[in-house]
Amino acid sequence: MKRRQRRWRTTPEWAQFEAFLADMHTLHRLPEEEFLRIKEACRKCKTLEWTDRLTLRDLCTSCTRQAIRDRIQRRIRKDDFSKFLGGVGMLVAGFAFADAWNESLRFLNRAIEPEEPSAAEQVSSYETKYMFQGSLRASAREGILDLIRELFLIVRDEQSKRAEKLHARVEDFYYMLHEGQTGAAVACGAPGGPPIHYVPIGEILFMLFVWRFFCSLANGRDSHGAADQDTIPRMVTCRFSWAGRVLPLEQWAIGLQNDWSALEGSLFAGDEWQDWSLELERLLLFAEGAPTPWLTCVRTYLEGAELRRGAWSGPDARDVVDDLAMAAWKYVRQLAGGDVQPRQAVSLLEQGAPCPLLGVYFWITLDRYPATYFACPVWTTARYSVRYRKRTQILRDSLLGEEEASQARGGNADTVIAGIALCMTAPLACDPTIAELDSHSLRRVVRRTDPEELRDLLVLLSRPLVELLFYDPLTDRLRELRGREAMAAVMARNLSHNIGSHVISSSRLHVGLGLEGKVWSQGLEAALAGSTADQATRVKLLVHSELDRVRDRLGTFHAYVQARLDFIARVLTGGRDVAEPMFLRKEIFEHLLSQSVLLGCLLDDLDYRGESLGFRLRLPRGTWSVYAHDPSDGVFHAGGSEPDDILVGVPGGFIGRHAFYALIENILRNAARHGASVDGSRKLVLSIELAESSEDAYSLLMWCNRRASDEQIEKVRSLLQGETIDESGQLVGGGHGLREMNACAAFIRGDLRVVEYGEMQTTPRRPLEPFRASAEGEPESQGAILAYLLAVRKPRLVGVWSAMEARRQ
Amino acid sequence: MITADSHVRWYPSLDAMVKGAPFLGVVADEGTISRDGLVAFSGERLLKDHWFLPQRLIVLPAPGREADWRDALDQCTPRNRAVVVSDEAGASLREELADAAGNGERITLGLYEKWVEGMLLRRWARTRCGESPWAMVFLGFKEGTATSELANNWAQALSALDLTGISVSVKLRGGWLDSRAVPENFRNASNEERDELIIQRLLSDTPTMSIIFDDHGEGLSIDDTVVQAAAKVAPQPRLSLQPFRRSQVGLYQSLCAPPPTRFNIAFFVLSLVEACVAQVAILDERVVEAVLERGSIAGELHDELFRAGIFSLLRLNGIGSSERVNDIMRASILGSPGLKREGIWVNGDSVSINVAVNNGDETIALPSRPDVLLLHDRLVDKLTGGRWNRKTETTLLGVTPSLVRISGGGYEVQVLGPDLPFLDFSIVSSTVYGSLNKFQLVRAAFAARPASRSD
Repeated sequence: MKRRQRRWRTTPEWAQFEAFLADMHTLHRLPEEEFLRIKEACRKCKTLEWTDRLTLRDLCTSCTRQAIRDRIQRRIRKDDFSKFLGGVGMLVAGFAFADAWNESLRFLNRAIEPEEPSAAEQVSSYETKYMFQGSLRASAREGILDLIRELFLIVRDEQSKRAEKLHARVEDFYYMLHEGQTGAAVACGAPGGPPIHYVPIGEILFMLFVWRFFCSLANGRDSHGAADQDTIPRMVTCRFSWAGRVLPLEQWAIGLQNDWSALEGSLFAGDEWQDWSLELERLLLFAEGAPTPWLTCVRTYLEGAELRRGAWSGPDARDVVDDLAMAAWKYVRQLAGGDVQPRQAVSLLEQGAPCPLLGVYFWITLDRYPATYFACPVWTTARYSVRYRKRTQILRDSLLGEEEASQARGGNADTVIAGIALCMTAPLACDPTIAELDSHSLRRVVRRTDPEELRDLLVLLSRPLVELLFYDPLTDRLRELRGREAMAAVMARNLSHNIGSHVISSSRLHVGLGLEGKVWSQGLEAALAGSTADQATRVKLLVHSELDRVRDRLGTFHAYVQARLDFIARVLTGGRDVAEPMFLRKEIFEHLLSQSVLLGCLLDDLDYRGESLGFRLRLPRGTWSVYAHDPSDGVFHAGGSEPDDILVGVPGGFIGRHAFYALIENILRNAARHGASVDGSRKLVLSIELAESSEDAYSLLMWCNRRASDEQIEKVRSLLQGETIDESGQLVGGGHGLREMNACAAFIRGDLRVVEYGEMQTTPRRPLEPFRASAEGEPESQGAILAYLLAVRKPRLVGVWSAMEARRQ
Repeated sequence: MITADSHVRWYPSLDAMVKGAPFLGVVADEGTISRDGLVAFSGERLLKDHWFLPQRLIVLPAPGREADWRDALDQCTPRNRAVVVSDEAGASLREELADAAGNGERITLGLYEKWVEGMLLRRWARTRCGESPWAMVFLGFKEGTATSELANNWAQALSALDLTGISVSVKLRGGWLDSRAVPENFRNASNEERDELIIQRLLSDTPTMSIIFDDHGEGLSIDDTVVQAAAKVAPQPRLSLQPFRRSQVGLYQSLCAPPPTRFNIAFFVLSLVEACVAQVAILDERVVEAVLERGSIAGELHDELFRAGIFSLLRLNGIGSSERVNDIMRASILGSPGLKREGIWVNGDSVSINVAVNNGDETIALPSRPDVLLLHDRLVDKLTGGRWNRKTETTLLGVTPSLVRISGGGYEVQVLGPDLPFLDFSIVSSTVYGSLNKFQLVRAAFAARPASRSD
């Protein structure tokens, strides 16, 4: 494993951790006794045809992986691991992820016994015993932790939508870190690390879900009613010492002076809350109209947490905190009944909190300061989809029985699942209340460990299992798919090689076709047997001349096909295609227009022949050149004096220009097949317009004189923006022409980077962007046409290497 | 202060230049590297990045360092990798580069011309041409092609062409159209005198280049015997004869309708001349078959290719057991004693390339240093019996500055090193024996790059 460049502050722990990780990786190598155990498991699972001669390689992968996972779990449960994590200040650590291939959820978890720090590491503190320590049986504790992580997977659709709007990637991380007194915004990137995005609602919903779930659990029934006073003693409880925690009484007094009901209206107004509420209702399985005594408190917390997260200061923020405190207090009073004092409320909250995280939040809320932080980066990868499981499946898998799951099918079908969740809680050393507590000579267990280091640890910790349970199966699946793709690639490549470079390019091809050689010349001689010498000569000249023309046309077409095959072979085999300067008009566009055989037949099935087509080209600062069909040779010519040309950079040069041709062929076919004539004319005219875009690129706009409905344009957009393969690696059906166009536009664009994006005619962000445009000379109300925009590179003509430039930079 | 232009990019390192992949690469010497440093740079760094650097590489030496650079580059492999600009030309280019903003087109053309001229000079062991223009292009259109529209196109293009080292003369029905660089004696000559002047030039001992594009072989009045006599000095010909036909779609269209503006026509003409000056050797059995298909080894296609500066090699000697590209030509080779030394000859660290030349009476083999050597991947494997290795490639760089792998199977590497630039076979077949188009072949070969970097 490569050691991080950044120096950790807790160097001794890092060394220990590194050793631990190395140990974890060795667990993938199964010893003999484990092998025998897996064989036994395989025999039971019946996925294999059992024989005694099975080797490890023969064993079914799920059993093997299960065995490795068990080994990792066992290793994690050893004391040295707990000691290590406790040593860096973690109180709870774990991760979970949806194992889509096996349709199940996987966990790694560890509740950590706080470790007494050495004197050097101590800051000051109070004892922070957390949930599930002491009072709960170890087995129950682990079970609950498992559940927590399982539930943690559920986040809102809105997260992904919001992230998409912000151009953030849900698949990176989200991370919440209360900054304590600084009040700094929490959405930030770790220096040198991956981007971090705080996704605000997910973990809150998670906690609500957990809360609700444990209420139900405590009530000992399947219904999802709210917790009440009777419930609390039966709930899974946590106890940590409240002794010595000090809250200024005057602040509580301020809060108590306010009327709760008056606050409610102002705090809960707004449409967004309605959305949240609906979401909660779905996620928390509310019965419609059921009383929700704890919900108001949670609402308050949600609003407050959002505010706290932002940059807040001044009296408004203080008011909010006070409101939160009061809300929590009121909530506790409702639950516990009787006269509960604010200070007791905090205690009761903590005592009654069914999971550590919620307790932490309330603690933060009521104490005003983040005495603890909570970090829950959700880590998914681009390949590890977050969107594809149905809500019913999640519910069935995680909480409900089959019957309830089927009842829930009417709900939101696309609830997002986070791929991998990591979470932990740890006290925060900068808690200002600690200073106050110093004088009380309390126990000290708070560590200095950098929160980012803890997050990194979690990420590293998750790797062995992630690799085992996600990437290994994914690799298997991808290998299988790749095998099929590779076979198609091999066949295409061989087509290119065998037919393209050996048959079509053979110097004997024309003999084989009968255009040269004895067969036809003998036939001609026989036909002219009775003719005079003069007649025979004239006929022969005529036939030779026509055959020459046929050969030329065939040769031109063959060269086109052969180059296309080479283009396909290039795309399939990859490589670095240098952008070669080429004249757009002469070497790209007019070369296509000289393909009489191609253009005469391309749209023949749609009843368009060469004479039914027209082409127009406009270069920057130029005028339109109109190309018309010449029936004498089937080629398209522009009238008038020779217009100017322009150099563009074409990756792959003479072969790479086929990316343009594939694009144009598809545009023509799509327009002929789906478009209605703009002007009633049967003629199909393709217009191509090149315009200045940026220092590095031109924009190329292409359209046909055919109308397209909004639905058609939207469909094209959707297909172009969609994935070519689905989440399981399968080819998405339909729109193959558009996908090829997209790939060709990406090929033409090469490694061009988008610097700006604004109006049309600038460098498009995507390889190929469809858009709705009005037909030329007509108001938009008459209908729209479908235009495509792509970026074409400017040529890089001169590159100068100089020491002076190196010094300057 | 260096100013920028969209045509000119500055790179702080060779690596950056490799990544940027410009059409023309310029090493601007600041005079900071010692003489020994130049040798080290040329011998180590250039070799290391050789395959990935632009094929067109120019050195602008610091004042007074021209000779040092030439010596350094002479000592290194690959041979002739870069063109060294003379002190005086370098000074003016350097000045222009220092204020590149808005001058990009002029700088591009200036450097490109130096590169093409340098390619020619290095073949003549750097003897200065001493003549201006150093290359004369003669285009002849036959009766049926030379329409008034074509005349207008060329008149417009030639009026915009202001290259000084290259002249362009176009023969149409009504006579000749000339660019500014055409010498007075040509300009003032009658049509008949002009033909005579061209013949004299072809037969003279000048190191300058004559390039002839002859429409279907009917556009110019040059006797075959003259062409043959001029071509005999191969393989350092001062003549490049490029027949063009309607079937050569791209070239034909370009020659009939040249771009009309200053930069575009100059760039186009430079590309044409570069393609004609460059010599291309090809080791590919399909090309050999095509050459043999149309006659003996000294047949029509062979001669046509030879006059255009394309050499189809028949043998690879010194590596492995089998040496002939194709058994069909066994008789041809054995039947021509002059061809005993034809092909690529590898002997330890030394290498030579000898190309077949039709001497009129017989076909002989003469030494050549092609600017590009195209090798068919599979064929090399077959001929060498798997004994081809990276060292062989480096050895070959002693006789040619550029090796290019050709294949019809995409970038996938078979035998030759993965660092070798790749060119699709369709380019070779369509431009060599499909319909001769050296213009396209050379441009594609110079733009070829390796699939990936092996280190």
